[in-house]
Amino acid sequence: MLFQINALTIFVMAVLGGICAYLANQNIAVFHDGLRPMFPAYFNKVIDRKTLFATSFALSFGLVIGFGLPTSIAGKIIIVHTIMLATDIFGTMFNDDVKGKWLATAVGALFGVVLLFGMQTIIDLLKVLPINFIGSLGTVGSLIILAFSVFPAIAVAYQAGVLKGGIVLALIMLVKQVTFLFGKFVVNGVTVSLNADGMALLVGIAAMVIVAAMQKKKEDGNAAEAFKVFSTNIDRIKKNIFILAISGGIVALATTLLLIAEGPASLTLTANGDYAQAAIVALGRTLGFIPLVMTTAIVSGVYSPAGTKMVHVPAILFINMGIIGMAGSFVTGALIMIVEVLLLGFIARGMDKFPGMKELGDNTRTAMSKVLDIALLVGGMLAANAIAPTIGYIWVIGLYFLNQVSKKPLSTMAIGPIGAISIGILVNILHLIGLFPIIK
Amino acid sequence: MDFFKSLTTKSLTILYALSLDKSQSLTYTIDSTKYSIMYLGGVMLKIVIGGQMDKQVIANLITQLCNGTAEVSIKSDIEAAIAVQTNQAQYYFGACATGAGGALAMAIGLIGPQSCVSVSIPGRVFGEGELREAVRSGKKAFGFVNYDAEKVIPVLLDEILKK
Repeated sequence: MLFQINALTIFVMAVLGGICAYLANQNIAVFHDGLRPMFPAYFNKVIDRKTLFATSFALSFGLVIGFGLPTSIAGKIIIVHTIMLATDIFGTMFNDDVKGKWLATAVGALFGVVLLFGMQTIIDLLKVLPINFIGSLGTVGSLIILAFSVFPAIAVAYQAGVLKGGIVLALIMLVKQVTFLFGKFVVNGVTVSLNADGMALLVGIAAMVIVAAMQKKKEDGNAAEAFKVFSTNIDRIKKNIFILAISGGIVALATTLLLIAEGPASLTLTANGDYAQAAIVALGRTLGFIPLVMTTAIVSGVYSPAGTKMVHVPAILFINMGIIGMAGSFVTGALIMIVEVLLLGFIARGMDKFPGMKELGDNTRTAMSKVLDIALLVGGMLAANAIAPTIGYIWVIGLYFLNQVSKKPLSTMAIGPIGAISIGILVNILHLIGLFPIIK
Repeated sequence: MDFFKSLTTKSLTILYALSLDKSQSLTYTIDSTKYSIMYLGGVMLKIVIGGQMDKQVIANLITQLCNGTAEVSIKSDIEAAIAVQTNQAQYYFGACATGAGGALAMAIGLIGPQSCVSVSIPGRVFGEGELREAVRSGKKAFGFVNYDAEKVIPVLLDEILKK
């Protein structure tokens, strides 16, 4: 893994796990967007704690095991879902009384530390296998690094049709190619080189926001009216602003320490050392998640321990800046969380004013998700081929379709990482029985 | 109108089921007798597509399966949930990568968790029996992983159309 295990990282993982489990237990914040709106029914005693826990477990367990762990192992940074979906489960597992509060916090903290050591142990174990495939796992994310800048074009196509989407696609390609060719120049003797993918992403996201802002207001918008009844929920979240600020700070600090990453794309870019690009991608994802996180927060009175994910953006830029970077990351993360919570009321009232922005959020999440599905699948195929040129492609293609037929399908996004890891283990087994000799 | 004429009661309220776009009560005067007709709800099924992903694909699939017996419209998740909440539509379908967040969150928040169910989430898709039972037990909003649309929608609709 890319993180170091020392007193600081152990402490941060414990606090992160502890505070997230505490927030979930005290019904202040949960990470899964689909769990949040269950809480009003719990507050009104329509459902009990056990049902809440069962829902949380059902929604999140498969994602932790099937998506969080393999993505983290292949990417070498823990994807935030692995810890925060688990703390949703731990938080709702215990009653929200005094005893339950501390139990949940303790279990969450312990989980954070176990995850830290556990991930490193898994990597160490894989390293001692006769055929070491750890190096090839990096290939899983190779398409994200080279092609993730395509997502704004797809979001625009969903929003405004194939023609505008096509124009943005051409623009992104042009910007990347031109920056690649002419993006290096000397200013006062210092060579400045622009990152082609970063520039393409920036231009794409800008185009996406412009298209959304141009969208005309629909006449029958009645969301703001429907959201008026939820003003007490906003007050409930505001009451917890202090602890949420600490949570935002810790999430940011953990990001800066390379312990966690907010999504598969920024994870890969961060692991590759492309911090600026990773921050831009995280910003794009934040645009996508602002409507979802904020609307679910408003209807439920429960926030997210990572907020709209904006806390990750400066946190990525603070990587490798030493103690100042860590302090800066924590403080900025906390401040961002405070601003987000204070903005909730404004968002609820302005629900109908920016219809394009709400739609942009949905389309951005969809576009990113679809690009990741393909990028990680093809990346997984390339990695599997690098590990086992004879059977790698067959395995991952087969796995993809078997998963679609399955009654218990895993996230499509996870098939690439799972395929690459499993072929690595498979070739080691084949090696043991003499079917996969090491060719030198 | 022959139907109304054949009725002998001077004043009657007919529980009237029409597929009108807007609910409205009508008054007919036939042979100088006033008949007030109260609108109760459409027989034409109204289905809204909310959620986040593949809305057009889902709408096409549902339209095709309903074969003209339902009015299908695509909305934002919030507008779609409000439509069911205010009885302007009977059923909500939505998809996203987890089958519960972008797909169903607004419906759970506005209609209530008792009427909502995620019929597919990563790691688990409802079987045919569970899908039919969900409709029978009165669930109105269904969330699912976008890849599972073709597994769950035909069964759900088949059961809905039986009602």
